[in-house]
Amino acid sequence: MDSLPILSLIIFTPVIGILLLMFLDRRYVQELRQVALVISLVPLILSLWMLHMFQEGQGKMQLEEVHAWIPTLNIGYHLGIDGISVLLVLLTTFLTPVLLLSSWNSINKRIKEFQIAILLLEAAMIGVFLSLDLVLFYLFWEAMLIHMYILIGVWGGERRVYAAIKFFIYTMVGSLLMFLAILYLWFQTGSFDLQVISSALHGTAPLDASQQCWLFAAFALAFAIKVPLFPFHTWLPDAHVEAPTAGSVVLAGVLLKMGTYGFIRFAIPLFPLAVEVFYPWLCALSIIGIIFGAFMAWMQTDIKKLVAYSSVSHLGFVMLGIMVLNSNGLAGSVLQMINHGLSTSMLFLLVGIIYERRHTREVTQYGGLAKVMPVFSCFFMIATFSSIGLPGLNGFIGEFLILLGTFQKSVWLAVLAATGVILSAVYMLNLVKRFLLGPLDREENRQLNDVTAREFCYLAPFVVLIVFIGLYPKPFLNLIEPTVGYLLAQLAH
Amino acid sequence: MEKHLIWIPLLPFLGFLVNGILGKRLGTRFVSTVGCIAPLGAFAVTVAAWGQLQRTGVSLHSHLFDWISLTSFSAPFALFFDPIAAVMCMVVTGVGSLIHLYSTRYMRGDPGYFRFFAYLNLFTAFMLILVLADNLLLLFVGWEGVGLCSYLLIGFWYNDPQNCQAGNKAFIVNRIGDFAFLLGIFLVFQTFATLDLQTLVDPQTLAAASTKTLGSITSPLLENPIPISAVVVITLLLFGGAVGKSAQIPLYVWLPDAMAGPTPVSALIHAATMVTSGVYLCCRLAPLFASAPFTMTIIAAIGALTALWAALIALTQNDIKKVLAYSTVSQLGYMFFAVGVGAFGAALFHLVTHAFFKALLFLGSGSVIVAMHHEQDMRRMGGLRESLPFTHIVFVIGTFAISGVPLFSGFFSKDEILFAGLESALHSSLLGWGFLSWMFWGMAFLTAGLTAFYMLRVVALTFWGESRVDPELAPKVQEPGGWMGLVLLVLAVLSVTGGVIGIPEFLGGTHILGHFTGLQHLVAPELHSLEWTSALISVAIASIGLLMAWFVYGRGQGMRRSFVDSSLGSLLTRWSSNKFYVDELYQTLIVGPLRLLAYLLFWIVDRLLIDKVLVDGSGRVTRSIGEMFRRMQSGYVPAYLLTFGCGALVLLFLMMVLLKGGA
Repeated sequence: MDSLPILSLIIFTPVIGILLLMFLDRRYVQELRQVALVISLVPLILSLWMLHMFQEGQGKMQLEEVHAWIPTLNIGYHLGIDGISVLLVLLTTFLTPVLLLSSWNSINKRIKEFQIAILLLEAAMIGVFLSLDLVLFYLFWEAMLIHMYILIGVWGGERRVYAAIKFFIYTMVGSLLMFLAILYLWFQTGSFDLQVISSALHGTAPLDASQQCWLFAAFALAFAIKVPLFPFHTWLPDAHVEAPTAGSVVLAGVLLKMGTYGFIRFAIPLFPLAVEVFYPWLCALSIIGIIFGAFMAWMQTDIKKLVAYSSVSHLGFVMLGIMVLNSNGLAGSVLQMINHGLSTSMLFLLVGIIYERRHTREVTQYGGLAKVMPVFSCFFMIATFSSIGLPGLNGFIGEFLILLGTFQKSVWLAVLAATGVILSAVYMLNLVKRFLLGPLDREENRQLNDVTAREFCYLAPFVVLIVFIGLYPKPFLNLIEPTVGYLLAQLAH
Repeated sequence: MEKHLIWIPLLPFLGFLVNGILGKRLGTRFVSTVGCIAPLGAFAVTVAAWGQLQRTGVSLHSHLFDWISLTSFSAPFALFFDPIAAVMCMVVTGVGSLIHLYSTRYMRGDPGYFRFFAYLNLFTAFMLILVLADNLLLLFVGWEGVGLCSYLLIGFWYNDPQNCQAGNKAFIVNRIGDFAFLLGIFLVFQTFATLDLQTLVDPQTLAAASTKTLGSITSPLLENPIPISAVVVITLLLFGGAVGKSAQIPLYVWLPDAMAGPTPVSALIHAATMVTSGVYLCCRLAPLFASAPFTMTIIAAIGALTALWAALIALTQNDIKKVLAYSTVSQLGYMFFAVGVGAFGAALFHLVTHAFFKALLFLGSGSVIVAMHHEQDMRRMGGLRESLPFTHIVFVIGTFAISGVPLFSGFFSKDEILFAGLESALHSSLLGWGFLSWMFWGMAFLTAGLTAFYMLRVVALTFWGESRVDPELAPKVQEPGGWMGLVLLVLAVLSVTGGVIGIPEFLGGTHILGHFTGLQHLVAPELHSLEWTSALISVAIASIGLLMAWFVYGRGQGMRRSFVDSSLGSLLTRWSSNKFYVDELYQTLIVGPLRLLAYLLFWIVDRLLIDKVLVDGSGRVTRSIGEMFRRMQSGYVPAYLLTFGCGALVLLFLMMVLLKGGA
């Protein structure tokens, strides 16, 4: 393609923006914030343009950019986008301005560095979703990891160092094995390019079942930790609790999706024989995750921890939809990745708002907030019911399609997974009751201010999207379906 | 007209948006105007649509847009207005509008006034989506949506944690039912490859589907394996949803607690409309249910059992709204009993008349509660006939209607149900288990007597006898007036005359409702003689109930004392007034163990095993291995030399040995 390299532009505009930030003196705090916000809007606009250029109805990669990068090792610079990654990129570019807006007053130390970290993180995350070369992918993957580590370790809470190191080492262990698997693929096929490898594995250099299993296991471990799949989930509550609001939002909103995205993009299409072997186990772990995560969430009194465990449960749904490998399940999973990105991010933003005012996340410190913060409570309720999967809101569409796909694969799996529908209502409504309802009996809570105009501005788009996807998911499903169909057709070969 | 069908749910939804967003700023008058115009507008559109339906005889169908559309699954956002939906729409918008009007006075001065009307409008919108949906999935949107509004309105006065707890309980218990409903939807899709309601009741599709099985039950005890019919499982699962929403055994426990909400909410949501949606679902899918005899037996059993069970609890409750709540559970049981014996028309008929008289009773109790400054305990009432004469009259009318006093609306519908029960007992249509059908009929029959008894008890304790009202409050008790009185009057008229839509042929009527909806009940010719008998015995049992209540509560305390003081009597009274300890049972058997499980899983599996032992443990192992090697790096040169020397010696020795061996 000779036209504009739109994908590269989306990845690198945040990086170029950072250069701009560097010329600003750190004393001009307000200006720094405004400039960073404007910079973060550029990728958003560009990605909307990308959506405009994207041709619906095709399952294949589009807008590809292929350049040689390190020819001696056959490492290429290969970007491309399909119906799945287009949505994840949009989610990322949508969330980044929100991150900056939400940290407007809450981040007061090293503001410039914070903005740089956020923008670099954005570039890395978009890079992960766009890379079609395994080395390039791995580089972005690690870059994302490092910036997240910095985000937690520098701007986090009291136990930030423990949480950051736990997060880093845990993810690193997985990534290293994945890197070994990538090298093995290179020895086998002589290329790092996903499409080249894929066609080689399906043609000239097929792998036998045991090779596939080992490689799949290596990839799957890296991605399962990221999801996080039970029992690899314990880093998540710690990371969430210690991360600043922006960190939690990006962690729940985008980072966790990289695990499920990795399964869809790499682990499953490359090693179909291994999938046959592993899928019952992965389904079982997903179901355990759904139920276990919900039970854990029920037990939490720290609001952030509660939402973190609810993510374990929700991502269990997403993984289940992927592993049943049919079009309903997969389409539901991809949509649910976006839905979870919206509802859980919104919950973390709201917790951040209240934390900024009261400096505690303990639910026992609250109660009756609906009286003093009605608008805040209204937002929280919407996010809650989106997360519970109330029909008419976004969460339901995803959950329904996932469960339908599961049901078509195995009735009993669906029965087990559907208990998650009951459990999510239990822990979320319990939270709402203790957090927003009941008497307003604490003196400190009587003076709380409702959401400000700035907060309202970044929360409102979430509500619009939550309702829109719930009532009219068609544009989203139109993007997802051809890609999912293409993927399944590939697998069927 | 078809284009305008969307206005039926859309108007209340717009009302919700306007009131929800602007209501706080624009004040009470604005809120009540918008809040009432919205359902009234929906009512007007319903009337217009009804008119067209009458004229043309063709159901209205309006496809709005593709909601979920994949090649492997699709569900449109489409509305469908057939006679059954029309009847239900009339009830929802008609009774709904009346209750909205009533609320303008009832909720006056409440700080959450705008919020109340916004929620009530939203409820109406969701309820109408439930009623008008042309496929199961859209129906489910309404189904859970009304659950949301019910949750919001039960916990409307959220200052009291108990109200919030009641709201949570309602939503969660309903979700248990919805779990079954959802699985039912999946199975419907797997069996019929569509969720379209019209297709589900199409005789041809149904005939094809009824042969499908999902494996079979084998057991050494059985000679032949019993095949599991897909239709039976589907109907059982959908009924599971209905059990939650319509508060039947074992999921009825949320409804009595739901009385924590404002009284108009209890009237609209927890008596007239939402809780009847389970019955509506069964009527909507009547042919599907009718083709699953096993399910029908279960429905009849649960219905009859719930009717009796709830009536027994209602006998001893002291909170006026609690009595009405258990009475609602009981009457819903009646409707399901009708469904179970195949009298779908009778179920729908009773649904309509119940909406009239139960709304009347609830709103009547609302008048009492307002007049008594939010006192609900009947032990602190009595003698209110003097100060609330109008409320007294309408309440007695409601009582007569629910008890089945002849010519009141409830008489016709209840009689039809009892007759259908008798008929099924005679025909033993329930899987040939004759004695079971007799038992169910007997339970329904007994319930009729109990209903009359506990309702007259309420009247007696509230309005008759000596005043037990707080002397300070007594002079202030007066009729609330305004819209409240007018609404009560309209509902009273409906409760008296509502039966005309279903007067059976043997009483000279034509059963308009049955003919209109196509759910009429065809009586076998040889049983015609029984219709009079059945009607007479149902009148007899109602009279006995009323008379006994009058003796026990209306005239002095003697008889009641002697019953309560007898050992059996006191046991029964204690169990009944404690609601048979079902809440406690669920708490100990289900909620408690689950909490314990969650607690153990969290501390032992998650915190200890996974996080401490495996995750931190592997870190610690790595660290201690590192520690071991670190110790060798002591920085003490002689130690290095010593190690070096020893190592060299060992190597030398090995080399010598090995070389020697090699040579």
